[in-house]
Amino acid sequence: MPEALPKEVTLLLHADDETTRDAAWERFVAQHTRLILYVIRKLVRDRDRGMDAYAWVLERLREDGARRLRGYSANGAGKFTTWLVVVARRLTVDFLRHSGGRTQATGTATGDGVGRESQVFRRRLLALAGDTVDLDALRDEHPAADDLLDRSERLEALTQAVQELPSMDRLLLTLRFDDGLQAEQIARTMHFPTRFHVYRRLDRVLTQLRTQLNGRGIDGDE
Amino acid sequence: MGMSEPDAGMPGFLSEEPGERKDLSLLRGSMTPDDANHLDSTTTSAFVEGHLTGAARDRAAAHLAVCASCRDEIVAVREVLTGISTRPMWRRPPVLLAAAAVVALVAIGLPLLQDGRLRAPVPVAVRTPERETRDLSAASPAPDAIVERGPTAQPLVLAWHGAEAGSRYRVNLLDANGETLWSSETGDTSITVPGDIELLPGGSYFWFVDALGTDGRSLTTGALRFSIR
Ligand SMILES: [Zn+2]
Repeated sequence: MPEALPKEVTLLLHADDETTRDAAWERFVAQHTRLILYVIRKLVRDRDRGMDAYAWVLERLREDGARRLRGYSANGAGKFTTWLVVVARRLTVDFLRHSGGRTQATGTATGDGVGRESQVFRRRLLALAGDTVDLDALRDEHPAADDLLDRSERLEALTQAVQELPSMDRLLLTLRFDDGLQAEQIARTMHFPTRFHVYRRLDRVLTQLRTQLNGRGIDGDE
Repeated sequence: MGMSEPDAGMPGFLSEEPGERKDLSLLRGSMTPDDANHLDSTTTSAFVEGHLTGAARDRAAAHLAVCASCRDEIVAVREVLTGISTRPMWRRPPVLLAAAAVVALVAIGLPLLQDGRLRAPVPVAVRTPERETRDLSAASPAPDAIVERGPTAQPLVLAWHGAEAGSRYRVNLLDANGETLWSSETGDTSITVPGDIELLPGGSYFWFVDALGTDGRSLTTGALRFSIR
């Protein structure tokens, strides 16, 4: 659903002499600087580095006759603003990699806290879906051989069942249990009307997984 | 609209290892993303906007389910867009615009009197269209209250009359420009503003509470002004 190209972008792409192009570029920059800076600040806390990133992003957007912006006009990716956020963010990540920096973002799925919580969420998924699949038990130092076999079978069955889910459901589970995202964030990302819809959908998917495990003779009760 | 066409000129992004959480691969099973298949910016943008449908959406979701870096990206982009649309800096919601207008008028001493009649100031607590103010209302500080804040004052407490039992509330405190100073969530009907949030004497502030009811409906108090003596 491409929207009409913003005027300043159209001007920029259709300028046929240097002066017009410069003027159009100035307009583009004036129009979108706040958005670009906003994107950068999410990834770069340090002000000076942020300004370096800003310069880098502008340079990349302008090079080769604004090739990237032409990419938008050719494909049409929904709102220009959304597309620009994606591209500006990628360029900023690129800048950080080039300049040997680390992403300083927090609040995204890469946040350290999330990584640490990941195991907890995974365990919760296992508990919710499998009821008895216990990762800690899998790591027992001296598990009975039968036990171990039993558990790894259940784990295998769960993995299999997850793989067979529709991809949107798999994404839902991953965002929730792997990345540890809040239901509200998931709702925004996946276009659920409210977080309650997220909970309901999660509940349904987990029920489905449980049913499937039972159907395969994986008993919920130990 | 594909996933295989990388954004040329962004080798850094495209050569990226797909996230640091590869080891936790239960959900992803044995599947690992093929680097060449990262979502391109067009697909990412369309997914974030909810414009992808059918097979294209399923393909994108299948990749997202196994690729931490593309997932990070859609979540981050969504958050940026949400931030832009709720941050007054960018697109000030009408409520705050109206409120800020009142503050500005008062601040620059513009007469509210015109043609000898008192023009009603722009209402501050305007209903936003998609929300209702039915059961939720502010208790303290009262609208346009002047709050005494000596150097030894107790922390400021914001209180409201709640919606139905079991509701969750998001409380927002903004400065006169509509910039969010602080925001928090609670199940209670009052909350203490942390001491490190600076409320300056003479300053005007706004606060509002959004409630999320157990039925998924949301209510808001609308923005309310108070100032600090
Ligand atoms: Zn990817």
